[in-house]
Amino acid sequence: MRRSAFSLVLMTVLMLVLGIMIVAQFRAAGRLRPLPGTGDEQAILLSALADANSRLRAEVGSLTAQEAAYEHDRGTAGLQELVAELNRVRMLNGMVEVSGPGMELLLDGPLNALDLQDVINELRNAGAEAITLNGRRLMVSSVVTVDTKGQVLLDGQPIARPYRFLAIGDPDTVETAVRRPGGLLVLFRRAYPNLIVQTAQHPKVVMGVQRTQGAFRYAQPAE
Amino acid sequence: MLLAAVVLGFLVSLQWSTDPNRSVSSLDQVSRTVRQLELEQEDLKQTVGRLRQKLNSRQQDSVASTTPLEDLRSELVLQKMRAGLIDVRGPGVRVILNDGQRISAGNEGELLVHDFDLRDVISLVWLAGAEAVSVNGERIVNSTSIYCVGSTIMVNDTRLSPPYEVSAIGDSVSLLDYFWNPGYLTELKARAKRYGLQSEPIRVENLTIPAYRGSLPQRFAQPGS
Repeated sequence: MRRSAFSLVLMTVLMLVLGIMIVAQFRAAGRLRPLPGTGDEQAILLSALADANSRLRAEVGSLTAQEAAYEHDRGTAGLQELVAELNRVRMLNGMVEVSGPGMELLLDGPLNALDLQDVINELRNAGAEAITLNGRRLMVSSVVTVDTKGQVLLDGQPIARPYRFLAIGDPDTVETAVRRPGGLLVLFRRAYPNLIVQTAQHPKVVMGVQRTQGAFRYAQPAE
Repeated sequence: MLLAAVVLGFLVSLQWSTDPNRSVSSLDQVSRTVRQLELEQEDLKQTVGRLRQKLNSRQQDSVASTTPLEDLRSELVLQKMRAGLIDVRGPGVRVILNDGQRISAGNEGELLVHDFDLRDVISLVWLAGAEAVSVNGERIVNSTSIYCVGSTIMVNDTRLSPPYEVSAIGDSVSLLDYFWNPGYLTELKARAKRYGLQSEPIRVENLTIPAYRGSLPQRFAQPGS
């Protein structure tokens, strides 16, 4: 008697799960992945995707133009084109002095290494094309850490408060993005009530180069 | 009774997925638009990847094999490796991160892998000397940001789903040492222990990390002062 009651309960649970799975299956077959919950979040997702696509279309355009120029030039890149390309890529890597309009973000407070790392992420997300922290140019591999004495280090070199970020990009866009409600600065203010936050827009900022670049000992081209 | 349970399960899960403030059809419309934009994005990224690859090989094709030109070419390859514009391979580590399964009231936030978890793991592998990094096939470049929309993580403007695989080429001994150092990823490891969230590094002899396929706008930054 107990046994059959148990199996009835078990069967019922199994059927319940089956019911849920049928729906899940149904959804998967539609190839529509779940959307973020609120209408606001869906709007953010839609605009992020639309923006990304328009940037990608522009990229396809400039790569196609570059391709056409090579085609014109016997199908290969000549000396001039190679130099131009090298300078472009070195600029992305922080190895060329750059200037442009930008935003300054000054933070003074007991921020930890991960907080500062998140600020860098926030600036990249806001469309920053080049970033410095306390005058030092950031690379893809740049990391903020803390040593055993509590000293904050950027790429192994000590940096002191206040933390001063400069970002080249559309000053309004960058500032609006970092100051947005629910953004990182709002979270910081909650966590560090005495944190000093200052932003300023500049028509022109100049950034130096990052000379120390790691060598490749393990990675090799795979093309 | 059993049939009732199936129907109940059906209804329960429908209820879960339906926002009471929106009609099913408008949600469906948003989903379709998102899907459309994502298909378009994938298409564009493939085109960007193909064009860059073509340019790479044209830049490496030699017309005149003079020494200065060869030096220029190898410098260009090196810089493109740094910028993430060339596929690379080598030994390294793959860290697999997945949401925990031990659900109980109030811990939903704790058992999910968040955008900041991915950022922390990626920062750590750079610190450990990684030479190239990707997550779920998205190359990490100087302009990459990792953020979330709701509970979905976006990398290079693409939505990722768990499990997240962070691949890092470099010295695997150093990469594993940093990962297991108790001073790093403390919070992530604690959550892994408590909620079954997966965060496991494995050594890989030969990893391939694909080139970045996104845009590289330099609309405001100009060379020189």
